[in-house]
Amino acid sequence: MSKANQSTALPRPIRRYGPLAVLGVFSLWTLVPLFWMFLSSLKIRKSMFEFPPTIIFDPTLRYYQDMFLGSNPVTPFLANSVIVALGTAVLSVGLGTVGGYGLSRLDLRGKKHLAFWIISTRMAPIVVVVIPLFYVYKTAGLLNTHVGLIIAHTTFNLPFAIWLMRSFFDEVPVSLEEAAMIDGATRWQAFRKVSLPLVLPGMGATAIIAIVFSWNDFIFALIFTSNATQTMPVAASQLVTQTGTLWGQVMATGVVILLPMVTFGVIVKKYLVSGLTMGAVKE
Amino acid sequence: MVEHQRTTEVSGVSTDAYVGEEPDDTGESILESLPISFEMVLLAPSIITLAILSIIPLVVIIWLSFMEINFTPVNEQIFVGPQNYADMVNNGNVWDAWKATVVYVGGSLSLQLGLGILISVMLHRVIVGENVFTSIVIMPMMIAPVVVGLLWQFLLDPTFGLYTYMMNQIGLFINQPILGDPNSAMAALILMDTWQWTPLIVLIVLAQLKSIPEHLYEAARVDGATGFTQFRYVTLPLLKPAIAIALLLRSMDLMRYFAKVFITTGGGPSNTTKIIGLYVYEQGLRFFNLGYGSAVGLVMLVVTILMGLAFVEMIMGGAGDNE
Repeated sequence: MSKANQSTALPRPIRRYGPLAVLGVFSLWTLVPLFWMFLSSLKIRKSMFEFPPTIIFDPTLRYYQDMFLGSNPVTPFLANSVIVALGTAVLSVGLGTVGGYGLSRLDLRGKKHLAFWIISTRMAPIVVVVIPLFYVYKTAGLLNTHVGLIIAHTTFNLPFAIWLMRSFFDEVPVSLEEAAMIDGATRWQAFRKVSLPLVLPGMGATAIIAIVFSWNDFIFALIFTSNATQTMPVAASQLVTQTGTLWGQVMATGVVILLPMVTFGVIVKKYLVSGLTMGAVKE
Repeated sequence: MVEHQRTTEVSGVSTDAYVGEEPDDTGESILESLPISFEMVLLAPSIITLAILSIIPLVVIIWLSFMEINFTPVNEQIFVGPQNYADMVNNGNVWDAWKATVVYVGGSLSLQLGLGILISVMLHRVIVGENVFTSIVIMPMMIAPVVVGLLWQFLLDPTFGLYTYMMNQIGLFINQPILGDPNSAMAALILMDTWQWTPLIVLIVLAQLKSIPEHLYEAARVDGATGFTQFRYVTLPLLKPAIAIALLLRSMDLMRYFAKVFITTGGGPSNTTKIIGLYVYEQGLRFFNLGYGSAVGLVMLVVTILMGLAFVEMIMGGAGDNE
């Protein structure tokens, strides 16, 4: 199938190896920063600032050791990140699965508008949500609490989950449910016993992507947390100071933040395009 | 397959009668006897939650935009009418922020779209290695913007950055910090976002490329179209929906987030990279001009919605169409 759009005008070697070369360069452009980050997290201070930059050196795990066992361990921040990410994922996917099913099966004239309104809450600029929420939280005493941040992250994860789950339910034929109902199942049972099991993998993918969004968030976490409730990205941002930054430490922290999320990304690779496009694109 | 002996569980009444074509009419479930449809019942919790989560902030930000809020020395809310809006129009910094936003969003969108289409077409042509390649390109998208910002700040550091070193080798940016000059700082921000998010466009366009039926290309070849002509007149028009979706998602996110800018340049040098999101953030939450920040934020919201609607029209003449 890919033979089809090849041109006959270009010489054969270019046709054959040109695409590979372009992809190779693009892969390098993508990977070099990540590779460099990983290397730098293993370098002692002295070799980090050597010019020309060195690739071969005595690796050290000092920064990672410091991070977890040092005087200022990141473990509490890691715990905060996990609590908030799991909280918002459970809330969003729970509501979003039921809501997404409803939206998928709904027969209503204004459905388009309803769907657009749902997703528009995910598209609003963060500051436009943060400023009023800040005022509300300050009045309600929700600043610097896990609950506050979980609610804040649900503002973007719930619309995302509804849309994505709806797209998964759209693929389950209604006839399956009808067959079950002819067998005596109620609507709820048809949903619960017939359709839901079929979208379980999609549900998992939705939960994982919701966790990634929450884990990676910076602005909400910056405004709504204090030292005690800080998440990892906020903690990482505070490692950069005017009076000398320990770049090895920064890079090691970065690796700790990105590694689980990149792993998640690879796990849900199959669902990533539909996930990140909220079901608009299917592979 | 109808099991006549099946017991309807909700009512507990055993019936061996054929249930019929419209099980809804049996009215045995509480859910189904409600005046609104079953689908609506399921959707309601989400809608109510979202309504609270989106309408409260909206009402509050509109209210704030007409107020002056002070926390010190005492908590006070003073109604100032349209004063914040007047301040906004007369403030040159807002206009500068919008100009920076246009450059940042426009530059990122065009670069990412061009590069994204190129890479996806190349990827569509190679027979092997697609799997490995997609695994590689999804990585940046999974990374927290803060980490991306810190990483690029490190790469571009004037004394020990890897990319600064490479630039210096070809005689560029010697003794001239990349993030310290207005033009190169903006270019660096655009490249940073391009590094992270071009893969999304690649994946979206690739999915669409795969769905183009083979016979269209055959027909084009019969008509003598090859290479670029074929791409221009067969592939590109068919990619339009995918491109529109990509543009919608990317433009919304470019308006929405500013963490990478916040981390790397902080809007500098001398406000040249202070995009509107960052400007509103600083006004509202660093200087605590909540009223003024809200006014600018509301305008930003309106602009974002209009932009979104324009792309949605382009995609499908309205959101949520089922094909």
